Amino acid sequence: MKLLRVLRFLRTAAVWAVFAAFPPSVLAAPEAQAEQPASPSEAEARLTTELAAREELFLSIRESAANLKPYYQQLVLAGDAASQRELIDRLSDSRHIPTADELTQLFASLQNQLDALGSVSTFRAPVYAPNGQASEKEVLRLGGFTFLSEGRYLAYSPEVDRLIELSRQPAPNLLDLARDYARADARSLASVAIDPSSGQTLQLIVQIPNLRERIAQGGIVGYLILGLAGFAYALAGYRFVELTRIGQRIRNQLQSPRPRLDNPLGRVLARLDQADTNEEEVLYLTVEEALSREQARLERVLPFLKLVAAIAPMLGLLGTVTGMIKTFQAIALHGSGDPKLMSGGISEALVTTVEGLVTAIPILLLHSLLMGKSQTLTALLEAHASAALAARLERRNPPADEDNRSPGSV
Amino acid sequence: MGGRLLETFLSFFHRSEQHIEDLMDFGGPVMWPLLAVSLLLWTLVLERYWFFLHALPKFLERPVPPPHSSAATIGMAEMKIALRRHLRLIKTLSGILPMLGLLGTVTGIIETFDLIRLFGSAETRIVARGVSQALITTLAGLVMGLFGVGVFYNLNRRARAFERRYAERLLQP
Repeated sequence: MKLLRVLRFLRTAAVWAVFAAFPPSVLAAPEAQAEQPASPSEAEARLTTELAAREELFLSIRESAANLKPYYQQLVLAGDAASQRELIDRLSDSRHIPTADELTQLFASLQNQLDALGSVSTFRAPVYAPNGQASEKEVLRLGGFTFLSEGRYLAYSPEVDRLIELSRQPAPNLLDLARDYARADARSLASVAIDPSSGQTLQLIVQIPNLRERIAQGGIVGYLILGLAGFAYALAGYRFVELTRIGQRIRNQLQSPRPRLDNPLGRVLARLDQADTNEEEVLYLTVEEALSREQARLERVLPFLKLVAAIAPMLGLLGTVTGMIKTFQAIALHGSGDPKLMSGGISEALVTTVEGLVTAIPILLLHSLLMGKSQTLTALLEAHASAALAARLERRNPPADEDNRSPGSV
Repeated sequence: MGGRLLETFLSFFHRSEQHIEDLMDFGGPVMWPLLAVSLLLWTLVLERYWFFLHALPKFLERPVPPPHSSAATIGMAEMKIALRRHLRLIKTLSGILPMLGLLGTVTGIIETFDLIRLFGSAETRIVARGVSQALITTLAGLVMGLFGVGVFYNLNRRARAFERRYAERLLQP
């Protein structure tokens, strides 16, 4: 708000200058002097004092105008900007003698700017798009802080005296705020982001890299991690669907009396049915072999997921180390004076760490879920298989033998 | 009296809500997944304790199938599955929480470096903000993770004890 204070002070100074230093007697001096002839020496003395007084006044006006000049060059002026700038130029020119009319204009201009800085207003102005095309657009002005147009942030460029659309817009949440604010009802309250440094912070903020640039910062190791992550996610999704379907089929199998070959339990039961022997040990071995094969099928891919979950943070660490090597090489070459030179390596180091963690955490979770699912299915499978085995042995053997189950009793 | 109590409670609730909001604000974007995972962990833990303390005693009162029958084998397997449900997930979640904290640390430091690059390192408040973000997420992740580990061991012990009891009941009716 320093700017506003300066403007207010200057306006007061200008008012004071107009009303206090231009008394009617001074402005109407030539006529008054003509009516009262005086002695030449007296007239000369009066002329000198009056000229001195005026010179002081002109000097202070010139000084004020010169002080105002930078503000008038940095600001998007409300009203006719060109004529206001010209006025300031004229008033700060040392050869120009200001008139009362010009001072009134200056006063009006300052008043105008103060009003504009203190309010939210819309006006039409030419706006340069990032591709260089100028078009007349409706611009929303939030005091002296920020300019919005069609939900995008603008910056004022003093060199071309135009509003320029920022080629990179800030984060989406800020953009949403800007868009909603333009649509909001004028009587209600709405939140919007303003930039107190009148555009400078905004232009710095948009230099923070977006997601794509961040990923590019990760370098080769980063792409490797992301590729691994994508592969692992796809496999995990595939296994999830498959395990769900297998669980459904096992439940169907439990309902039906005949073994079906589309599910693990059905396959184990079919092996048991096909076994053409009454030897208890052979039956046990058959079922156990079928079970271990089904278990291996159920747990397919899961060790790979565990491997990825373990490897991804290590790859992230690898990226960290390569990034730090780059950083130290930059320091060795250029010294540690410029933080910008080091930032590339540091970014790579940190981004790969993040990528490693972001990959490992969900895969760890998925692995745990899938492992739980497959182990539940395996336990169910084992229970039903051994139950089927017991039932078959009961059928073959007389019931009296039930308690004595050693292989020798058959 | 009751009105005053309610008022005290409401003001306490409001204050703690404010605290939580401040904490989320300080911790940065990683606080939200951290919160989500913590809530999931709490839900699973509460479900488990409800199961062990409320559902399981009722289940044990039911008649058991005769020993060495196929029904007993299946019953034992289903009991094991029910006892072990979610336990693995609880263990994994308690392992994930410190990792999320570490993730928050790294993102906090990235933000710090970004801001240093833009505004220079003269402004210590900028650096302090990033570093506090880094530390708060680590703190939250460690606290919730340690809680999860402790609870997991308790639940695991309970599950094993119940398993043994059920097996004994099956063998000696």
